[in-house]
Amino acid sequence: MALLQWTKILTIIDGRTKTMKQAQIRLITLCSVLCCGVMSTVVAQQCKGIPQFMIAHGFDPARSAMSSQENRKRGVVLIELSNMANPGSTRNKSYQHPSWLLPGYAGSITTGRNGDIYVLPKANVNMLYNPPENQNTIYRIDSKTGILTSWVKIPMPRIPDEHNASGLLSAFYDCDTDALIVSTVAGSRQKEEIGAIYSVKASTGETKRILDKTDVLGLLTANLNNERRLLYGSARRSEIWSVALDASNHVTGAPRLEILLEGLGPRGDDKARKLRMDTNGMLQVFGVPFYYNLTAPVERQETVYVFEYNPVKKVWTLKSMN
Amino acid sequence: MIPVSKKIFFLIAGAMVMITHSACQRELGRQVEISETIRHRKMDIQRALQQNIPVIRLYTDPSKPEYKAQEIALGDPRWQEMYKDPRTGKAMLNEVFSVSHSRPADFPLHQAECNQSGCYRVEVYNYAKNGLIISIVDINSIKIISSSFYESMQGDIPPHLAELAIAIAAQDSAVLREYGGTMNASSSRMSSTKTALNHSRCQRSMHLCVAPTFVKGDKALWTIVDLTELKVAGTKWTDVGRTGMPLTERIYQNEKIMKCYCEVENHVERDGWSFSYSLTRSDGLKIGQVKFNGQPLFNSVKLMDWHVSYSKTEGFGYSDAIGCPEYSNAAVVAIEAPEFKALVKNRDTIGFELVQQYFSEGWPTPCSYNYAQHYEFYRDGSFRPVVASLGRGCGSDGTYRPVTRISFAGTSHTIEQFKNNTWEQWQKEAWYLQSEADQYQDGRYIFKLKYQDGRTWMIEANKGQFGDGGRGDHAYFYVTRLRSDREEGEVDLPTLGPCCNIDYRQGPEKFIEPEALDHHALVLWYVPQIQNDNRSGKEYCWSESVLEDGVYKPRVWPCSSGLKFSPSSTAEQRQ
Repeated sequence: MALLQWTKILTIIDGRTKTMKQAQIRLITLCSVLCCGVMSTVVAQQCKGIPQFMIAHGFDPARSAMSSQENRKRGVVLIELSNMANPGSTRNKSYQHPSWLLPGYAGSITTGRNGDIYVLPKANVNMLYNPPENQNTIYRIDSKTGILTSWVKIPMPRIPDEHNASGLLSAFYDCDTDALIVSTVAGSRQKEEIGAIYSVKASTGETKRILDKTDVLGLLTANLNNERRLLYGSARRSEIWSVALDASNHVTGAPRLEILLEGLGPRGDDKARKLRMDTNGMLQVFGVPFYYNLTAPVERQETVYVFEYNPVKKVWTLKSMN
Repeated sequence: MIPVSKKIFFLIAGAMVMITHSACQRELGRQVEISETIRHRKMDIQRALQQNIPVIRLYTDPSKPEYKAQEIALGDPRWQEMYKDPRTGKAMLNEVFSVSHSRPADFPLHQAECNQSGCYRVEVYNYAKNGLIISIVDINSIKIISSSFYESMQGDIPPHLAELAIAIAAQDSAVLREYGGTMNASSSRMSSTKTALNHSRCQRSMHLCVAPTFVKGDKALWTIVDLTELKVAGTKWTDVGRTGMPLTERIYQNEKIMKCYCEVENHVERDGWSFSYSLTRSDGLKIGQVKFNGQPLFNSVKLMDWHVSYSKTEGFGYSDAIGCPEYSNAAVVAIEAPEFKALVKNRDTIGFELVQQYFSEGWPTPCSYNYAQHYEFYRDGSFRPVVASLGRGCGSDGTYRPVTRISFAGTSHTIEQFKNNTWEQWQKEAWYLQSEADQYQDGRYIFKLKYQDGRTWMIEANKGQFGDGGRGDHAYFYVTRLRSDREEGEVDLPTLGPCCNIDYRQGPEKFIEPEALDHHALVLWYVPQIQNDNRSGKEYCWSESVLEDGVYKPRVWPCSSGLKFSPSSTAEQRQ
């Protein structure tokens, strides 16, 4: 967002903080024009490979992406955008291999170091194309062949049912460990939070549980103050937590509350659907309403909150929302 | 008027989920005595809407610099689109929320030349669009420095709106009942209590909402006040000082529906009828153990799916489940409590109905949906499960096919169809499509159901004769055996079938083998076919947003469908 626009929106945020809880006020400070610089105490991972099949099909990797949100399309679609900075821009062309329909409707898509693409299923409006028993299956598109196959099945304590249609919700490729880190809420119910986070070794598919009894909507790993941490957004609360990980993705400390989203944005009840670190070390939080149902509003209700980490005070500061 | 926030004491009362039992009580008899404050507010609104620039101004004294700033900002020709609806020319309601000296952060670098002493920031809220215009103006050079509109932003409300919100809350009967005592809004801001005003969000209605909070002992009663509609949108007790999610419209609505209708089964006895009801996770509002004058009629009745297909695009449509707003498979969710209403005909009360509505976020914008269930219970023992679409959907070429499942009480039934001027018994599971060529006994009855004990219930087809605006159902009837050895819909079922089959394949056919029906308990599945229409004067299954009193409100043209059951004795009396 242009600085000009930031300034205007941020002054509004300042007015709002008067009415927020103290915990939030601690986290949310006005970003003046002078302090909108970057403090690089957060190290983002950049190791995404280029899928070879994109090139083979004549797509420009710099302008192309895999999408699970194309209108009236199931599965995933390879699209080439007219403007890469604008996901809504005109598609110059698109392609869908027949195997890419296998997951049914799809959600999170992540690319690994070698260009393999990982696809998670996600029911859309109903379960007709997303059988409950497949909602914890990670699908992989081979970088070379471009063919999608069922890759790893994450354990399910209970098959998704009328109380909760979801299984896997988010995936993040961790460059440090060459592992896919995924969250699942399969089997969780209103009064029974039994979701979990797993790491899956990309080379072998070996699966290891990182956290349990935690429903997570979005996650990533990052180095905060030289400490490797897993950041994760609760699927139940407007909160982002973190936990320290060692080099083998074992938890080495207690979970820590990092950011409250309560009361922020136009809705005030957003959950962190996706977390991403930009190249300047700013945390992007894609906030959406999430209530364990199959509603699919026509107008996407999403706000991107950008937070900066203050290594001295060890707090996150909201820099913008859009 | 004195600007903004300094006079308002903001107290932060944390929230803890604790809906009291009384929160589940129906809100019948809710009364709001319209105070002078509210009456004046309505007059202010009407006055503003009559003006060329339909804005409730904050400053009226022309000698004040804030007045000048306000008028410069309101004169911005770019904001004509905020004043009048481009389609109808009707006025949209706006209100100046604040005029204050601009802040350094208001100025991008290239505009820093604005003389600070003459520079003002003017915030104007548009109630129709739920957004905020922020203008920076220079009253010395009579110039607009910058001006932008921000969707879904509301800004800090002025003091008179804070007072109005408190007045609305303090006079609402449900709030008073919850609070357990009288609150006098005019008595020095409730000196006997501690009152705070918190921000809230009305995410679904997209209205301007705040949350006056009344502290009583160690508890705080949060009250969401909708300042667009001048009403209370919800209340909730919290523990003072505890942190937690701020109360918003969606959180309040979801918690109430989940606690009062999804997690519990409610029971009713009225006009000879008794039954239970609850919201399901994917099959709508379900009624169960339905009896009339003590005699069991139905095990359960529920609405399994809504299939919507659009004829202009093959295979395009949706298969929507309806039900609880959280922890469900519902695509269109209940956000308001079920309601009991009197059934009145020719000024006589002839029974009652239980009504439940379901909403998509954003309804009635295009491609959003609103569905309704009406269970009609008549004093003469008749029963009609009505389902309706209230639009709006993705186009004017839509056909709705809702799937209702009716499970009859008892262990043995027979079902007969009126054909060739006589009643013919169905021997096997089958389906049937209502058509123009059908025969009806007494012009009404297409089927009759006999219970084991000899009771007979006549089934009246919908040909548009029920006086509810329905135009006839052209329905599919499916009769299957109630199976105890396998699950065929007694518990919540996931989506039964795809959106866009245009024949009998709507889902229930999966349960037709066909097996013999005789001496078994039966299930009737009913799937009307209703085509929507958006032509002026002929609207059906349709809705529009229309401007009323400066804000957009839904206008609906429901399409009601549903057959009717009547005890044979009642049916005979009608002859």
